[in-house]
Amino acid sequence: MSGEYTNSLKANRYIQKGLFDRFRASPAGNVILVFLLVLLTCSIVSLIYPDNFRFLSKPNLIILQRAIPTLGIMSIGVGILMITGEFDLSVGAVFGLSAYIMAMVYSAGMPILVGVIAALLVGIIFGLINGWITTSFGIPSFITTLGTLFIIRSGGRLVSDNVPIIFQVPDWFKTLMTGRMLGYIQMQFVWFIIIAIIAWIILNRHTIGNHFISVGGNQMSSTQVGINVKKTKILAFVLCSICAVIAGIMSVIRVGVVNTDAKPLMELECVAACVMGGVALTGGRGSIVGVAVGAIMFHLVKDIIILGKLPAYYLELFIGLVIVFGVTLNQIAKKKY
Amino acid sequence: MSSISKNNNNSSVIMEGKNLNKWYKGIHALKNVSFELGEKEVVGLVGDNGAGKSTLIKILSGAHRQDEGQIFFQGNEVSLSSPRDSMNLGIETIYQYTALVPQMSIARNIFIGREPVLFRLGPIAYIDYKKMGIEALEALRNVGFELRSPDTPIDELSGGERQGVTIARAMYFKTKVMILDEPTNHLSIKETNKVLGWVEDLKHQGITAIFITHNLHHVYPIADKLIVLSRGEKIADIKKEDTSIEELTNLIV
Repeated sequence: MSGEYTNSLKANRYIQKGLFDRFRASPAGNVILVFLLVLLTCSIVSLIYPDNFRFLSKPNLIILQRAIPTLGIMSIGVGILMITGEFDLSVGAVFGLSAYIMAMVYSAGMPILVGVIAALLVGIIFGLINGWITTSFGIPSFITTLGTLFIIRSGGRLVSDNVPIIFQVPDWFKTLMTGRMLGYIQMQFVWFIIIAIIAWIILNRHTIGNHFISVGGNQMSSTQVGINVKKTKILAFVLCSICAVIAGIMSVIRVGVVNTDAKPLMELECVAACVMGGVALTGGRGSIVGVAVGAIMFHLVKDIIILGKLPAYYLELFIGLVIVFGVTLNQIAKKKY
Repeated sequence: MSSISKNNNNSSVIMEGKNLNKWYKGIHALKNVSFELGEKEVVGLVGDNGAGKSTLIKILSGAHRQDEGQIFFQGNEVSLSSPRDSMNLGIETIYQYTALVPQMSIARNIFIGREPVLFRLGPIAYIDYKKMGIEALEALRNVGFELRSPDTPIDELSGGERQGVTIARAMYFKTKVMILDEPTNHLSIKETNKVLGWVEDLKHQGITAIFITHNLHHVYPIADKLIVLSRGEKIADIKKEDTSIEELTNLIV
């Protein structure tokens, strides 16, 4: 039986379509292909001109590993939510506020883990609020979270009075979250990979992941097979906020300074990374690998622009082009295959 | 005497509705409708647009609740307050376009909401992915999809094949009553015949089917019984051998 199943799978995959076509038709196919090409090109150029293009130099690799996880972890949360068919524009604000709360609790003399839990609670509460308002009143989440974005940002300023907190977390925690392994590997990047794997398992091997995709893909049919759409969506909002909290904590403890209005436009960068990674704006389609690669691409291009001493606005130009052309390409790929 | 014994042959009623009424914002959408569904019967539910067909199936599938009246399932009165309730009894509803998630694979679609679990640990429920594939293949084989991989996304399938998947799903989960909402709408003639074949097969698998359509010509060849609704009222409930397409057409119009 099992052998038969495998055989039939093989027969289908390889007879109906080439492996390459199937790969390109998958949600993340195009971006992974482009990513590998860019990575290869950069590496070759860097090997030929090691002095002019320091892509493979140790400092550059470290910088990349520090920069990618913040966007990457947040984008994974945003991606899961987008696959469920909703948006969260408040992640950037949650990101700033939760890190500030952690620093505040810790600075008040509490153990660091209490600070982390407080930050997670803040995230969970805002996730619940976003999800509850969106699902209970049928408001588009774009609007709900646009509102909570402003509310949380201003609330953050109220809490912080615009005064940054300077703090020093215990060494063990700092090493655990932002240390370096084997000289070349940053812990932030390791956490990013771990979270990506967990997210992949949730989306592809957990019943709730099946519900996320089905709710995002077709809400009506999900209701008809007895899925609690409201609960599923709220859970996705909460997961999204939790990812933002983890990213927030990670980004502040290395520097030891936190202010609530750090990184404006973070939420849109997340959406950009997801779209680059092949997540459908309409929900139901997308993959964790795609989102992760989308976030990596974002910083890879940024890195190339810095290393190539190009003007910074090239990044925005590139991202804009990628979003427009990337979505177009995905649309074409979907029709063609 | 002969008529009584004839009745007994078909009298194992699986589902029954009594005096069902439903109002939507003052509109009397369903007026005192009563019906009986026999075991292993294909029942054609026909009527023009707005006749109350959708209202009736929404009540039977648990999507809406009747305002008045009772529903009996295998002799017991039941309260259907959610789609889950109906599904747990073995009543499966297949809606025209909304039954499947186009982006997901066949296997995932078959098991949405009822995923086989490898292990469960509190909130953690790990899907038995391999079992899902194998069982999906088995379910597909029942409706004659030998060559389709369970990993194929639904949006690569034709309309008829999609109906096949939903029927395979219902068969797999040991459905007793299957409600099909316009399953042949917008299908080619060839695919329509295929779907009609599947519905006929349901009978042999011991499943009762309610076939909703406004195309009498589709349901007539395979139906055992026809129920005609018009403006919320039942105007006919008749065995096929006692009627004809012409007679029914006149009723509907």
